[in-house]
Amino acid sequence: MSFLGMLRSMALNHVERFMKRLAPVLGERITRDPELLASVAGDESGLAPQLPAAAVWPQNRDEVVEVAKEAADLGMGLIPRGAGSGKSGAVIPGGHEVVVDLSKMNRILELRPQDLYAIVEPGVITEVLDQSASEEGFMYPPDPASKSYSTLGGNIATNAGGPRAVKYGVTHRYVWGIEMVLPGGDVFRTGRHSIKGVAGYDLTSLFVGSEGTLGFITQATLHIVPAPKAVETAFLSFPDALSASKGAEAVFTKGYLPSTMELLDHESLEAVRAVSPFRIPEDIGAALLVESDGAAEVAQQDLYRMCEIAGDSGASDCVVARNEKERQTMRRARQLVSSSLKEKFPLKISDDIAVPRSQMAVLMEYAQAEALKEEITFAAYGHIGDGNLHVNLLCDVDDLPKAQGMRIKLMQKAVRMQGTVSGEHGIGIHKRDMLSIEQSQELIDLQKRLKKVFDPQGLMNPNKVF
Amino acid sequence: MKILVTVKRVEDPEIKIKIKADGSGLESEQMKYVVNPFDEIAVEEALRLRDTHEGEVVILSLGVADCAQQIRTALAMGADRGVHVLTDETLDPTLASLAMQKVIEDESPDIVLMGKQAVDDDMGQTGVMLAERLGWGQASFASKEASLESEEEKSKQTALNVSDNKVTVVREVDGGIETLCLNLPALITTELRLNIPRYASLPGIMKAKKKEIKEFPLRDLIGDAQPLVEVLKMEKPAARAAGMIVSDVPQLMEKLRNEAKVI
Repeated sequence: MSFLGMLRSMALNHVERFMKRLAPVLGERITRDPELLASVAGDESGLAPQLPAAAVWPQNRDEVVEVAKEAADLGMGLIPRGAGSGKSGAVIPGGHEVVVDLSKMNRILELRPQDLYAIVEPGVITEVLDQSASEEGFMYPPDPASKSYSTLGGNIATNAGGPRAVKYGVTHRYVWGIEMVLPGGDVFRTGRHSIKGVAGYDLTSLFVGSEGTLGFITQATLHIVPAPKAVETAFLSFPDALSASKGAEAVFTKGYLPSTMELLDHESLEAVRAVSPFRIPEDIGAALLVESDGAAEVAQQDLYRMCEIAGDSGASDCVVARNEKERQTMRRARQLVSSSLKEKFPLKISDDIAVPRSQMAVLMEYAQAEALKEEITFAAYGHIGDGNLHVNLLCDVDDLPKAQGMRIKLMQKAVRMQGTVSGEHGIGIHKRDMLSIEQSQELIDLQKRLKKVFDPQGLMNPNKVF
Repeated sequence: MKILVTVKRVEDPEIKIKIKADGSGLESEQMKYVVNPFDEIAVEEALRLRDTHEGEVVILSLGVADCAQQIRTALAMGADRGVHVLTDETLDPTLASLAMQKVIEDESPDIVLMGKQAVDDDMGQTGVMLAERLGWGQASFASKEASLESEEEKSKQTALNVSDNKVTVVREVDGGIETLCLNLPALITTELRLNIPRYASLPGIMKAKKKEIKEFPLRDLIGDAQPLVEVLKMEKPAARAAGMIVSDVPQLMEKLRNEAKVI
C-alpha cells in the first residue's frame, strides 16, 4: 500500500470511529450516505461541490460540543455550515472533513426590543429574525440578497452585507456577543447584552467574518433597531453605467444618505428583464435602485431630492413606487440579477471588489476598458453606495484563463485604489490565492498564528482563507 | 371628452392588518394606505381615453384628509385635477354613491370609471348603485380580449371604444365575454384584465403637486342622509384546527363521516 493509500485508510478508520462514537448522541442526524452528503457539498460560488467524509446536524450546543470533542480526539477536520448560500466556496469540503450543518439550531431564544437585542441560534433564517422584529416595530438591518434562506450564523461567519449596508452598515455592527465552541469542546461566551462594552479584547469581532476557521458559533446576541416609519423606493434609468455611477456619487457628495443605492448595468438589466416583475424600461443602459427611509414626509422628500440630483447626470426616467407591492417588485428586479445571469451564461465568475465610494466611476471605466481589451462580456451590479461592485465575468469555459487574468487585474486595481479584493463575500477558496494581493505575508502569518490559539490542531475549516 | 374616475383610499394589502382590541375597526397605527388597485386600472384607462380623444380626467375621492395622497397619486399618473369630499365618517355604498352622484351632477362628465370593487371591504356595490342614482347606462367588469402581454397593451391602446356619443365595452361574464354598447354618459367599472397601470414618474409627482384639488365637506353634499349598513364588529376568522394523517382509507371514510360530517 502506498503512503497516501495508508493515510486514506487511516482517515477512513477515523471516520468510522467518529460515526460509532456519535451515533448514540445524534441518531439519524449523522450520516455517510452519499445522497445526504450531496446536500451539504457545495455553495453558490459556482465552484465544484465535493462530498465530505460525513455530515452531522446537531440540534443544540451540547451536541456541537460532543462533535467538537470527538473530532479533536480523532483529528477530523470540521466545516461549520449554514444554508450554503455563500459565494466563496468557504463551506466546500476538501473531502476528509465532517460538515457540521447548524441549520436545525433555528430558534429565536429571546427578542427584547426594549433592550434592542435578540438572542438567536445560528440556524435562524435572516429574514425570519427581521420579520419577528418588525412585528414589534423593529428591524434587523443586514439584508443580503439571500436573506430569505441564508442563516444568521452564516451571515456572522461571512460578515454579510446587503443593500441596506450603505446606511446601516454590515453584519459586524449588529453582533453584540456570541457563544463559541472550539475544537476539543471548550465553550466560551463573548460580549454582552448592553449597547456599550469595552472589557477585554473584542473576540466577538474576531469571529465575525472568520469563515468558520476559528470555531463554531452556537448562539449570538444580535442588535435590532427601531424600524423606520416609512421607506420610499425609486428606479432610475440611465443611458449607461458611467452616468449612473456619477449620479450615485453626486447624491453622496450633496450630503444625502440613501438607505439603498444599487446599480444594475446593461448586461444585468437584459438578463433580469424576462423574469423581473418590475417592468424594466426598454432601451436603457443602466439603472439605479434608490431608497430612503425615516419619518414619512422626510423619507419622501429625501427620495425625490436624491432622484433629482442623481437624475441630473443624465437619467432618462425615474419611477417611484406607489405602494409596498411595487417596492417589492423593484427590489426583486435587483435580487434576481445574479440567478438570471447564471441562467443565461454557461460560466459566471462572480467577484465583489470594493473601493472608496468616490472611486466607483473610475473603477467602472477601468473594468469596461479591460473587458473590451480582453473581449470578455461582463455584468456589473451591486452596492454602488458602498463602493462595492459585483463584477461578473461571463464567458465560455475556453475563456477561463483569460477571465482569471482579468479577475486578478481588477483586484489589483481595487487594492491600488485603497480598496479590497472582497467587500462582502469573503475569501473562502475562491479568492484564497488573491488574499496576498491585498495583505502582506507578515499580516497573513499573524492571522495564522492567531488561528492556532483557537484551533491548535488546524481542524476548523482547513485550507480556507489562507 | 371629460372622464371622472373615483379612487378609494384602502389599506395596503401587502401590510399585515391588525384589528382594534374592541373590534370597532382596523388599527391605523403603522398602517399604510394606497389607491385601490382596481381604481388604478380605471385611472389608466381614463388616461388612455383622454390621450386618444382629448379632454380631461378628474379624480374623485371620499374620505379623511389623508385621501389627498391617493388623489395626488392618480394626478402623478397624469390625471388633470381632483375633487376631494372630506369626511371622517365610515361610508357604506349608499352614502358613497349619493355623495358621488352630487359631485358628478355638478361636473357632468361623459364617462365615469371606477374599480369594480375596493380591496378593503370587497362590497362591489358603489358603482352599480351610482349608475342607478344617475339613471345612466352601466357596464360592470370591463375587460378586453387581448392579453396583458399583447402588443395592443404594450402600445397603451384603450380597450373602450368611443364614437358617435357611444361607448363599446367588453365585459367579463360567467363562462365568457359580453360586448355592450352604451349611450354616453355612461358608468363603467373595471376588471383586473383591462390594462396594466403605468408607474408614477418623479416628474409626474412634481407636476401633481401643483394640480388643483377642490374640497367639499361631505354633509354639505348629502345633508343628513344615513347609511343603510353599519359595521358592528370585526374579528379574525377562527383559527383552523390542525390537520391529521390517517393510516388508511377506511379510517379516512370514518373521520369524514363521523367527525367532519361531510359525507
